[in-house]
Amino acid sequence: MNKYVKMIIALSLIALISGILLGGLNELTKETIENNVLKFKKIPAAAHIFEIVSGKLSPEERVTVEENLLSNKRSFELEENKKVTFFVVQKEGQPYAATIESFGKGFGGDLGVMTGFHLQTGEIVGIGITTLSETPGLGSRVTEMEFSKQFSSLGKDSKIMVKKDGGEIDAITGATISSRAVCAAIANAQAVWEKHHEKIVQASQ
Amino acid sequence: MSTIAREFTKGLWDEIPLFRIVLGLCPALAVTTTMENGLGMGVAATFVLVGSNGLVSMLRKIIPNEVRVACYIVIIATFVVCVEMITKAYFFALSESLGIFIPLIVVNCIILGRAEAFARKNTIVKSLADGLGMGIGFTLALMLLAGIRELFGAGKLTLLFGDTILIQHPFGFLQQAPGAFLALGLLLGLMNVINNKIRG
Repeated sequence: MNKYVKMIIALSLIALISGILLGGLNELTKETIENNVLKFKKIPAAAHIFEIVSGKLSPEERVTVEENLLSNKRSFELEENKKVTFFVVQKEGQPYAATIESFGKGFGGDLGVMTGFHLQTGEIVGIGITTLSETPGLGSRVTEMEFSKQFSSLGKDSKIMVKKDGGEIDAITGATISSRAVCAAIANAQAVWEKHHEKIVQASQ
Repeated sequence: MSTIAREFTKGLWDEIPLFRIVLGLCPALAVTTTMENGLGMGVAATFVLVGSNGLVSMLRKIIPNEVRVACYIVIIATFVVCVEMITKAYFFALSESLGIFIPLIVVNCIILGRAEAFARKNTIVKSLADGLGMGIGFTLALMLLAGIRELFGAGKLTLLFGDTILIQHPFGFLQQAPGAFLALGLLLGLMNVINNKIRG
């Protein structure tokens, strides 16, 4: 008996100390990590949507646009304690579209998509990919314009699915799973938009 | 040579992880597409190795023999999660390019191997020296493999020369998984030839 008690105590103690340490470190790094994700993933995707709306940007213009997007970060409560952050894309200085990030299950893990919705009509203005770990050369091609432009001007009555599943999107050859993941993510974002667009439009002004 | 110095230097040649004890091949094949990734992976693994070796050695009289592997894995996993958070917070680009291979350090055979084979039987100072030597050896091996793959596969060495193209028509397949096996095999053979020459 004594032997087992010793084992349990040793293992529990090690696990406890490890838990406390990691909890502390998580608190310390959480904010920096969130800022990094915002700066290197979400903002570039939102800037991509800005480019679709207002045309190609030079590197200098991109810096200003990204700063502008960061200051136009808004959020609303989806349900209790669950906040959704979104960005407002402007056209000629006026709020034009709201971008919502959502996820689909890709071939190499979660695939994050930023979808931009027109503030008045609710149509999709464009998409940008935030997180991607798909196969290079196959699934990673979902970032190409050729694929992503198919989603522009789709509305709530459109079937956002690949053609194989009865939708209207041409999947990328050899990358049906990745194409499906993008469609699923956009459909999720659309569901959020449909349910909360009044709140979003209000917060965008 | 003092014993501590010997524990340190054996990881650099006699028992260099990748080439002589041939452990830790999964990250070695997967992330060595650029020298920068090789260095990042090596430093991350070294940190975990030194930390876990030190702690395992410190607790070697407390940890009951029957649950020792479970204890080692908790210790190793703790250090790995630390590394993961730190790279995400301060080296975001690196954490993006290493991706899943940072959490996978938990199951890197070198680290558990050193805890089981060395740290649990030796003093803290010796274990730290062993961990540091092995870690640096692993880093050097990764950088060598990554350097060869990047130079001949992509035609440049970003870590040393920036974006300058050094080779006009690189063999692209060296950047793929089969190229990694080929490069590693050639290096292993070369190491054996040199070793045989030294031993006479």
